[in-house]
Amino acid sequence: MTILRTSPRRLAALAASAAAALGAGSLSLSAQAAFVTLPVVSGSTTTLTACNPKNASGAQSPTLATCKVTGLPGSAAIPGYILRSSRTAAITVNGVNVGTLYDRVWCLGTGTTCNSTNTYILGARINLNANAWDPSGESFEINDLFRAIRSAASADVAYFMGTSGTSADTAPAFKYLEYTGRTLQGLNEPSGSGLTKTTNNGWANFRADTNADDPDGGNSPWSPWMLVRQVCPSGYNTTAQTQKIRLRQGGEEGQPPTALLTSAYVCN
Amino acid sequence: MARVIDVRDGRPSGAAHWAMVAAAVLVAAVIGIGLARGLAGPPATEAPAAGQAPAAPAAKPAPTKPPPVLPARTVLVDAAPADAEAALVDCRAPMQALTLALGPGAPLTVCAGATQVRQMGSMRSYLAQDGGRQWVLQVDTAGGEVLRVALQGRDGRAYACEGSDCAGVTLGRHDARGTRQVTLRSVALRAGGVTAEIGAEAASSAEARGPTASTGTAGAGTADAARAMVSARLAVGADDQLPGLACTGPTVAISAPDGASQKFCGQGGAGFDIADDGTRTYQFQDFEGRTLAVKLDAQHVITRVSYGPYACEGTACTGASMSAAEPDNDAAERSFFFGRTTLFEAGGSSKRAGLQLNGSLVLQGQP
Repeated sequence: MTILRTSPRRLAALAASAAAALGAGSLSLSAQAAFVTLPVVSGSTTTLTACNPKNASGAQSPTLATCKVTGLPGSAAIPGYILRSSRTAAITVNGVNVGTLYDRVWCLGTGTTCNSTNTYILGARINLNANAWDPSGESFEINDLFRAIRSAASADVAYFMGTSGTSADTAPAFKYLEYTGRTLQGLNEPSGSGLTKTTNNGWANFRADTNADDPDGGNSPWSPWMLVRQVCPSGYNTTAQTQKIRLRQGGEEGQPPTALLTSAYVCN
Repeated sequence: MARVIDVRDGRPSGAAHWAMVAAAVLVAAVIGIGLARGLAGPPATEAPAAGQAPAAPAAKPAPTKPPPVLPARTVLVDAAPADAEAALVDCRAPMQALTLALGPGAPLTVCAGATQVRQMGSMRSYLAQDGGRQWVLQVDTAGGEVLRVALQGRDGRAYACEGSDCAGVTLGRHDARGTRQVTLRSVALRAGGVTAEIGAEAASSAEARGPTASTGTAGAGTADAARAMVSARLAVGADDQLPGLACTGPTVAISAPDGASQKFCGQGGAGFDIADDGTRTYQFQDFEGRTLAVKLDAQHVITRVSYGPYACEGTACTGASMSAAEPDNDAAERSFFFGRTTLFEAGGSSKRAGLQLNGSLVLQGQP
C-alpha cells in the first residue's frame, strides 16, 4: 500500500476537499474500471467528478478503479483503436525545460483507417524533471492538466497508470487521477473554491499530482496517461495547435500558482 | 517655464546696461514661446457643424528662428508631473524609446533597456522596462499571433488589449543575423478592462479567472484617461543568443534570398501522423509554432517538404533524405537531412525559390 506523507497545511486542505466531495455525493466507491462520462454542463458551475481523491493524510487507494483503465487505446484494455498521431514537446517555464509532454491521438478503426464512427481518444501524459525554474530552486509541480475538447459533445474520461519501465508508453505513475471535470479552473483556483468550479465545456480538467521532487515527500515524475474520448465528425487537426493544453502548478505545498499554455492535438 | 538668461557679468553703465537687460528679456521670451508651441502640438480645429464641409486647416505659423546664443542640442525642459506635458527624451542606443500617450496630455517618451524574451509553454513574451523602472511593456505572442499587449506602471496604472483588439502590432521577419523587431504603432490599450497582470500567472488563460474583471487601478488622481496609446520598436536578439532558447542539438538553417535567416530545431515539439492511406507526415515545431513538415508515401519515400507557405514536392526536394524506418515501429527515432533543399513559394511546383534548408533534425523515439 502506498502511503504518501504530507504537510499540515496540505492536511487541512485535503480534509476540506474530502468533506466537500462526500457532501456533494460525487465520490464513487464502486469497482468501476472504465471511462466516466462528462456530459455537456448547462449550469455556470460544475462539481468535479472524483476518480481517486487523496484522503486526509494525502494517500490514495491503490485498488480504487473509478476512471481507471489498464492499458492504452489499442490494447486489450481499450480494443479497436489505432494510433494516428504522436508527438513530444518540451515543457518550458520561464525559459527552463521542466519536463516533457507526450500527446497522442487514436481512433476507432483498422489498419491505418479510422472507421465511420469518428470516435477519437486524445491522450496526454507528462514527465517532469527536477530543474529549478524560479528563484526558490524548487522543481515545477503540475497539479492540473487541462485539455481543449469539443464543447458541444459529451466526453468520456479515463486514466492509465502505466506498468513498468522507462518508456512513455508504460513508465509507471505513482499518483492517481484525483478529479476530472469540464472546467478551466484547477487546484485553489480561485482560492477556497474546493471542488466547485466555473463550467467551461471546451476544456477537460485532469487533477493529478506530478512532481519529480515533491515537497510532500511523494515523488511522481510521470503523470498517468490522461485520456478523453469524443466523437469528432470533422476529425482532428494533425498539426498541434497552440494554447490547447494548460498545465498548472496550483500551490499544493505553497508553491506560487503558475500556469502555462502549450500546443496540443485538438478535434476539429 | 522658460529660464531667464542672466547676461550680467559686470555692470555696464547707463543706457547700455538697460539695453542689454531688455535684450536678455526679449531673448528669453522668444525661447519660451517657441518651446510652448513645440510641446502643444498643432492647433486643434473645431469639428464642423452637421452638413458643413470641414474647415480648411489653419496656416502654419512661420518657424521661429532660434537665437544664435543657444547651443545646437536637445533642450530638456524642467520636468512636469508625469501626466502633464511630456519631456523631450533622446534615447541613445542600446536604449529603446517607448512612446506612451496616457490621458489627455502630450505623449510621454521613456527609454527602455534591451528587450527581454520569456518563453512559457507555447507563449513567447517580449518585455521592455524603462531605466527608471516606472513602466513595463509586455507583448505576448503564440503561433506568430499577438495574444495580448500590456502596460503596467509602478504607480499602479495598468492598460491592456487582447487578441484582435491589439491592432498595430507587427512581428517582423528575422534578418540575416536572426534578429527581428516587434513594432507597435499607436496600439490602443484599455485601462483596467483586461487584466494587465505581469508575473507568474500572466501566461494562464483569462478564462480560468472567470468573467473578465477589472484588476487595474484607476491610477493616481482623476486625470487618467480610459485608455493609453503605445508606440515602440523593440529589437529582439536571435534565438541562439537568448538564454534557454538556443538550439542545442541538430539544427536546420533556414535562409531566404534576401539574406534573412534563422536556426530551426523544433524545440516546440515533434511528432508524426498517419493518414488513412498509410502515408506519414513528420512535423517539427519551434517555440513560436512554425512547423517544418516532411511527408512520406507508403513506401517511406519523401514526397513533400514544407515550412509555412513554402514547399517542395517530389523530385524537386533535392538534398532531402532521412534515416531508414524501423520495421513496424512508427514511433522509432528517425533522422532527417537537408542539403541545400530549396522550398518554393506558394506551392511546390512553382519555380520561384523562397527558402533554402541546410542541416538535420532528429525525431526522438516516441514510446
